[in-house]
Amino acid sequence: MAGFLFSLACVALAFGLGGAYLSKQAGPAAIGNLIMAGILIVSAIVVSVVSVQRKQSGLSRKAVVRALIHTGIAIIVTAAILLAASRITHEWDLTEPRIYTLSEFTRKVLEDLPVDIDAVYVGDPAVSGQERLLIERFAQASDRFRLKIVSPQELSPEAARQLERSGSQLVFYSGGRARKVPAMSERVILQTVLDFSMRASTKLCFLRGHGEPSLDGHGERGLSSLHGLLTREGFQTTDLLLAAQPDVPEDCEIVVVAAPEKELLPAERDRLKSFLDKGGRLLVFSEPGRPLEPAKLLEEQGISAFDALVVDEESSLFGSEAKGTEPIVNRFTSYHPVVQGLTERTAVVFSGARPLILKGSDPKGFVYSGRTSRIEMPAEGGTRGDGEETAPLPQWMRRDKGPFPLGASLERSTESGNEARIVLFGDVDFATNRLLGALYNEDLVMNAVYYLANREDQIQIRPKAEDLYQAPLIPEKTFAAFHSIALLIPEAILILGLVASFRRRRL
Amino acid sequence: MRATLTVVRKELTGLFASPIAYIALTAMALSMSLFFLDNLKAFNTQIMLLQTRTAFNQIGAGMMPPGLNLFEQVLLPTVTDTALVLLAIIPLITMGMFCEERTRRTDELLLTLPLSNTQIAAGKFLATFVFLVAVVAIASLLPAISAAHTELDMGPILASLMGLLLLSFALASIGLLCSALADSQLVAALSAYAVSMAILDFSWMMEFTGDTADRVLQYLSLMTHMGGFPRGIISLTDIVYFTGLGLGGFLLARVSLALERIN
Repeated sequence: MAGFLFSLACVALAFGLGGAYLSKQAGPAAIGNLIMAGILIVSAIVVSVVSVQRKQSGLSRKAVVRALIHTGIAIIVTAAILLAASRITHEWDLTEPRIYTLSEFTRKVLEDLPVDIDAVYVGDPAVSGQERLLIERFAQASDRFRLKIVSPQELSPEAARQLERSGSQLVFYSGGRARKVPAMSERVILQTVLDFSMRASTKLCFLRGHGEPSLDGHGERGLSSLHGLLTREGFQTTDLLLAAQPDVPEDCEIVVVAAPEKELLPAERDRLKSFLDKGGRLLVFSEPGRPLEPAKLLEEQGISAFDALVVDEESSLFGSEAKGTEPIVNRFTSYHPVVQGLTERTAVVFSGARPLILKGSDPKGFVYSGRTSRIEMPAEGGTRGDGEETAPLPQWMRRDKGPFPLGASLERSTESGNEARIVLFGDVDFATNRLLGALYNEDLVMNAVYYLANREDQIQIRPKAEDLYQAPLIPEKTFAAFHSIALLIPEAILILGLVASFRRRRL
Repeated sequence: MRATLTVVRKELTGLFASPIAYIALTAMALSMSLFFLDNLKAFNTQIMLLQTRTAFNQIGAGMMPPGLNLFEQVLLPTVTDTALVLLAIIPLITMGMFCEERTRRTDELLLTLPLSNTQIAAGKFLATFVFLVAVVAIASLLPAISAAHTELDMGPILASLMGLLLLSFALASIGLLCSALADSQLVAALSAYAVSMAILDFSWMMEFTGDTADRVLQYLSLMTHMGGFPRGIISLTDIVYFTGLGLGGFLLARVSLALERIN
């Protein structure tokens, strides 16, 4: 009887829940079925207990009571475990780039937050679990980041309708300013936090007047993305027309020479030399086919660049125009501060890069093209800055076999007792709007800036978008192998089953 | 412990001697292969389409649409499908655990053996779980092979396996409880389906419940706790939830066995 009642209860439960699910509302039929299921389950338990009591003597009745107590204990234990589980927040992120864990960079920014930020998150808990988790992690990382979660039920009907259309919302308030966070990813939320906590410090002066890409340029070849990134991380930026100035201004701590199309004037070169002699910092981007500036100054320090193109057909950007000219590079010198945190799995992508030539032990290369890369020579003999012929390729450098240095640095003590620093890259495109956001390019550029600013302790890898699992096309051969394996496994199990069944019958 | 292992051995021998185990394993392997290959084929088509569009300069070089990757397109749906297939086959495996003893009239013999209720229930539960570990291992073969061929991150794959094992643990205990309570195997399987489906996902109910009830329902849903594993997140909350559910089912099955012994 108890079993029959239990079966009926299951049917009522299944139809009650199924009906509500299909109609998306708790109609009378669904509610009736659910009530009926509850009554039937209780009845089944009562009938079961009564039938046991009827059959058994006094001693067994004690056993029945004991069984009931055990049932109660089982239910209480389960409920207690489930309740305890709801209060535990610890978790492990097994993804290789730790995409669900706040990056060191984000945690450091939050720990040193100079202002209080009140964050208000409005979202439907049914659909925004991951988003909420992410924002809660921000709140856990800093006492100055206060989070308030508002559910749609707390809103007016009109606001709730608007929320339904626009999805969840996150708004930051700080110092009388308010800002909506445009997207729910660690990277975007952090950028908004940085906007509030911006503090001006090191000043970078971008050399202009020779066809360099513009700081305000929003096109593919512009530097507006780099400008925004520098500003968010607290750097000041300005244009520098060195030809019109007697010297590099005092407040310029880093001078950026971003692949000029024309050669510098001799006076400008002298001013840069004087700046370096006083312990200045120089960030130089060069580009094949353009003069390397200030070439003589760099050559004196043992760094120059060969006017050719590094090509790597084995590892280059998907779908680029000229095959192999946009090499994806993941060979970094592990000890160098500029590439701190960059590993084999955190590649950068260059576009039309030229190989650097490092002489002596002072210049230190920190990023190299892959072993499968080669050098394509220019059709005509290239020129370097100062109007001279391009440097010949050293004997130890083979044109057909990488790795070739694409980034290098140099430190030197000056007579004034200061330390001058230079960072040279064989490419500028990787820092332009088109490629700055690709892979780990912005980390490489910003690490170089922090290194030049003597702030190596702040070098960190920035959080990335969560979509890091890019994978190539599955080759036809592999796909065919999958097909074979996919059919082989069930077939083998079925044969095994038939053999077992046959053997059992014979026994 | 030895007595429990004896029960486990006896149950596993019985399971692998019956066609139901092989049918379940074949169904699992075949459905997983079909799901996996289907997802993989769709992914390949999308990539080829993207390459064609790039070649014709319809989209910029290096611009991958968000979400178009092997992980989102193949692994995530495969794990979700595996969870649903597990939900479908576990009641079929557990339905006979106690009911078959009653049908064959061997339950009285089992209850008169010098074994405690805990030992019997634990033995049957462990045997079911060991069998389900084999099922999950078969289901994970293709994703593991694909990971080896494509350098896919192993973290989410391992986390997914853990999630599927925990789900199996919880569902096996529900099936075991239903088998202990019901008289026939059919009723045991149907009731296990009903309970599993009922707690699978409550999100649709939240449209007509309040905020607090929403949170409770969301917390109680199986799918809420499965969500993190395929993404590579192992949460202690989820582990404790599935363990608690499994333990609760096991304890109630044990009580039901005690009542049967009294009868």
